[in-house]
Amino acid sequence: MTAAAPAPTPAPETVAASAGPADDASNRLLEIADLTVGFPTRDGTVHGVDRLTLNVGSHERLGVVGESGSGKSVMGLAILGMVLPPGRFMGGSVRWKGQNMLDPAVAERVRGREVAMIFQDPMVSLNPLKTVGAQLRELLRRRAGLRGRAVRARCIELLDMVGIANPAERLRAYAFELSGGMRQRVMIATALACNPELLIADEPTTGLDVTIQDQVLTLLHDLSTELGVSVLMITHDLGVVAQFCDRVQVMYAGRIVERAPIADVFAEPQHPYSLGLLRSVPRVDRDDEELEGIPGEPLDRARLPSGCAFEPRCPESGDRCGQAPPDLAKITDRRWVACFNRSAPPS
Amino acid sequence: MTDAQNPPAPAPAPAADDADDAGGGGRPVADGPIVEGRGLTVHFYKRVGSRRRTVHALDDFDIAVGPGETVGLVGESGCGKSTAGRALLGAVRPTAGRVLFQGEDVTDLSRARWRAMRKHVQMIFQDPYSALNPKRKIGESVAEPYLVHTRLRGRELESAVIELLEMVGLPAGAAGKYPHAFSGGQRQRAVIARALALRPGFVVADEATSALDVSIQAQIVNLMVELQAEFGLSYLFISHNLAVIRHISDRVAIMYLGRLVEIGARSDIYENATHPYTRALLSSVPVPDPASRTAHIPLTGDLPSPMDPPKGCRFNTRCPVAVDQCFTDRPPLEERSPGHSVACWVN
Ligand SMILES: Nc1ncnc2c1ncn2[C@@H]1O[C@H](COP(=O)(O)OP(=O)(O)OP(=O)(O)O)[C@@H](O)[C@H]1O
Ligand SMILES: Nc1ncnc2c1ncn2[C@@H]1O[C@H](COP(=O)(O)OP(=O)(O)OP(=O)(O)O)[C@@H](O)[C@H]1O
Ligand SMILES: [Mg+2]
Ligand SMILES: [Mg+2]
Repeated sequence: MTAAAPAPTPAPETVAASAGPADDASNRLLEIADLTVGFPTRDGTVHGVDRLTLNVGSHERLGVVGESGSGKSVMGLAILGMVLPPGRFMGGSVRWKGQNMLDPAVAERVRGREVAMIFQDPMVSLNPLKTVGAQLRELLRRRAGLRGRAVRARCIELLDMVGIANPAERLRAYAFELSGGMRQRVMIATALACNPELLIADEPTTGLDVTIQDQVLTLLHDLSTELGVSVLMITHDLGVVAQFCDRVQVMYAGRIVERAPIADVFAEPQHPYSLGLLRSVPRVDRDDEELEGIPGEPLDRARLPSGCAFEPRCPESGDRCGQAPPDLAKITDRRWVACFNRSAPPS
Repeated sequence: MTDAQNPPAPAPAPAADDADDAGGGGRPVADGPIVEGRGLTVHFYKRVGSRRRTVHALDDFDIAVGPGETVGLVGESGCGKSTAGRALLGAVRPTAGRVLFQGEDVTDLSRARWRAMRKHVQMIFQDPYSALNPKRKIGESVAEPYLVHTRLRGRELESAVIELLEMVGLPAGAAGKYPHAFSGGQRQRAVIARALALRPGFVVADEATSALDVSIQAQIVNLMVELQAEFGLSYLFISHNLAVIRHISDRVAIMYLGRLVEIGARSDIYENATHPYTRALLSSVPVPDPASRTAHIPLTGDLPSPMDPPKGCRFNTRCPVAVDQCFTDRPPLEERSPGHSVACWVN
């Protein structure tokens, strides 16, 4: 491809460095254990996330992928102590630096400050009746405790940081006056307002054109490298994971089926669902003969099989798979997989 | 090649007797294009305050789709892809330019004549849910084209519907169920079944797989490829996903703000991209492989408004290589090598 210009942005060494803050690292910020969130439905309780266990360290970019309805957003919200009705916590724990996020007082203190979220649809979280500036100022006064001149200075600094030209002018704009990419930047600026240590980005580029997506991802990448912000990148785009993240967590039907550094997962996916996903994605950088896809249909979440949820679509399913769901097990020091056909090599 | 004096083409596009694999691209095959747009221009008028503004949705657009061929159409949101597809199907009347179907000028056909044309040209949309009437059983929706355009009734109709459902991989029992009982992928199969009921020669697929999870997207792409081989279909495949376009297309057309900027065989576009916009677009796609880095030719700024397109080359506000001429004169689409045309003063 003639378009192959020198590639400055995402630092290649992130791949090698990714062995870093894996699950057992000492610098844990976020610890989730056995988290289950249920939604009552006519056909019984649906587990939005089911016994989810995850640790995130500092300076980490973790990708979360999985098909629609696999529990990615429910997980992101639960980390902030937010379970939207009719959903409810059914068990497990979420700890931020050791503090219990399921305690509303703790969650209220941490949310928007140490842990911030970028929601998929900026129009939902930007108030259409207020200018960008009014919203940012309010946030900075309420959450960051800034007063007087410092407020306006910080507003401009934030917009500048996310690459918005003429920030002083843009503060007077309403959300609908901004393009999609610009709104997404304002969202990121809002999320960064209080210098979070963890940013949960729920499909932050879905619906944006690729050239704008590239700008936004580059921005997030630079911010996380320069400011050391950890990012939980929820996406359905394996390209975004491969180019942006250090580790990836693959989810299916509310459960984690695999988690490992990206180099491992992309080179040698272990869970049959991860493998199927990778084989479903056409490549922009080469001609591929056939897309293998994954046979079968996504699950009806209210009617989970009693065994592994992927069993009905799994090309490798065996006798045990239909009986009980496999646990997420550590099969190497960097990789966790929930599959009866993969287990730790005998040591 | 194309001959406007061709006798009116005989009705149903015959299934290609030789399912010939035109192989990787080049020009439309033997007996001329099945559908052709010449100088297609579509303007919309929009009130902004007290002024009437012109939206330049499509401008002097030339395209030809050969029998059994897939032409991919890409470009950023709002660049006119859907408008181009709709103009080729007579769903929007062009402000200027001609539409030819099998050599016959159909631009000024009456509404009634266009309705008859529906047998030969069909469209598949992004959102299969809105394309199917939620209050009608799948079987009824799929039978509709037969009821409108043929005399098939009763038993014969029933078995034709079941045959169609099986052809797209749905169980015969699907006929008796309502759309809400199906997943997005299954609904898209039903939409494809209905679109193909009358064996059209030409199908415009507008973001037909964009709303689907990747594993299901792969299934639907594969299905469309199989059906094309079986029936000698021609596709105009509209998508913002450059990887899917690479996978499915023989030729690829790149649009920017209502104009074609580059068109060529798949290899011309993906291995020898020439227009700076094509290059930037391709370099922005995150490659789903951590070992291969996305090239990143960053484009600054956003898409200008189609109500006020820049003079000269419309890409000049974002182009990294623009020279003076680009701001004054419109670059013509010129053939650089057989079948590969580019509209650029510089590259
Ligand atoms: N408000 C709700 N009411 C009922 N069930 C819900 C609700 N929100 C989530 N769920 C359930 O939780 C599951 C997980 O939903 P979640 O929104 O986390 O999926 P997701 O992985 O973010 O999907 P997407 O990729 O479509 O955003 C869903 O399948 C659904 O069954
Ligand atoms: N019926 C209409 N009335 C007024 N403007 C229209 C109409 N249809 C399309 N447009 C405008 O024409 C331009 C081209 O629209 P079109 O839908 O063809 O773009 P597109 O390339 O298909 O975009 P997307 O990728 O978002 O689907 C846009 O600026 C759009 O707002
Ligand atoms: Mg979600
Ligand atoms: Mg469109």
